[in-house]
Amino acid sequence: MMIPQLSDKDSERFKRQLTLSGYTKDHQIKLKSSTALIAGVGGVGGTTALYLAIAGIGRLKLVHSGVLTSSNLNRQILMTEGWIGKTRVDCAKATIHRIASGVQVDIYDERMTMDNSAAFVSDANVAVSARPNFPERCALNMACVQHKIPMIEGAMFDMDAYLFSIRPGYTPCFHCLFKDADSRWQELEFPVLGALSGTLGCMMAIEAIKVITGYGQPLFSRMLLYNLSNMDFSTIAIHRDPACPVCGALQVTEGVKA
Amino acid sequence: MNATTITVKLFGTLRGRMESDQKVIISDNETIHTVIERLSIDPQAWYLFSVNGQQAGGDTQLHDGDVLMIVPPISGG
Repeated sequence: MMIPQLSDKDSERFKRQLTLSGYTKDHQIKLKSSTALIAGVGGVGGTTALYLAIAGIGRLKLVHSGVLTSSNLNRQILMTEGWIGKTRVDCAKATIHRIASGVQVDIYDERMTMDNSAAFVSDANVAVSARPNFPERCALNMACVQHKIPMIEGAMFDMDAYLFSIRPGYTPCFHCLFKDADSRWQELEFPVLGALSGTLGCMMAIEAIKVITGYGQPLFSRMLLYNLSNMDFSTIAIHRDPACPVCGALQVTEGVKA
Repeated sequence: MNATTITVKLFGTLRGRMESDQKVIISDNETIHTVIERLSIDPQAWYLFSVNGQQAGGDTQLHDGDVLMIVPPISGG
């Protein structure tokens, strides 16, 4: 496989992040040659997709079913008022291309399921979990473990959010931590302020960049929890479950894609 | 048994059941499971627990000054 190089145009466009301490052209080239699967382009995943695009990722695969409604507009920053009724992944692609035309954006107007998730993640370098329901998060987690694809898990409710990164076979997967969903969870009813989902989406983009490039220290085996009502941030150490039915039997004999 | 004080932090959909960083007096060596029952939190539901920043099982015994965080699964995206 041919490894892309940074063009003069790339070097100019990204020169401010290329001066980050410890961040080099090699990191940028890794980003340019990588694919991120974004499951959900709403308030969280849409923000992640946008920041990965402007950071210089090579390819995005956006998966999200359904059309834009007025009540999406308080948080879904890739959408505009004039697009109500249009398919959200089409809108997301249009916005991203307006801002970062060099990014390849592939779109899928679908939900993540146990049947289709493996195909979505198999050629990705990282997956971002931002769907507003547990079945889709579980399906993505299962596929990422199966294909040893790193996954960034982030979720919010009201003014709370949590975030952690998964390196299958090395760090706890989603199922290691959450064996059972909240049966009362309502996909379209949770309270959300756009600025909060935006913070989470930004942090998930940073995690994805770290996982892809090897820059910095991702939240592996650590969970960040925060509340933006009182600005309380904390991190807890988390552990794999050796009996986890999803990843417990995973014998790591080779590195994960990153 | 001696009385002891812990701090309980509830997260996400559990928040609102009581004040943030609530001090709770328990008997020394009570477990997380018994504290859950004391707080009238559904014991059948799944939660992630941490004590003093470390993930913990429900049978973990609690001691004076411990900070217990109870994290339900959330899925807002």
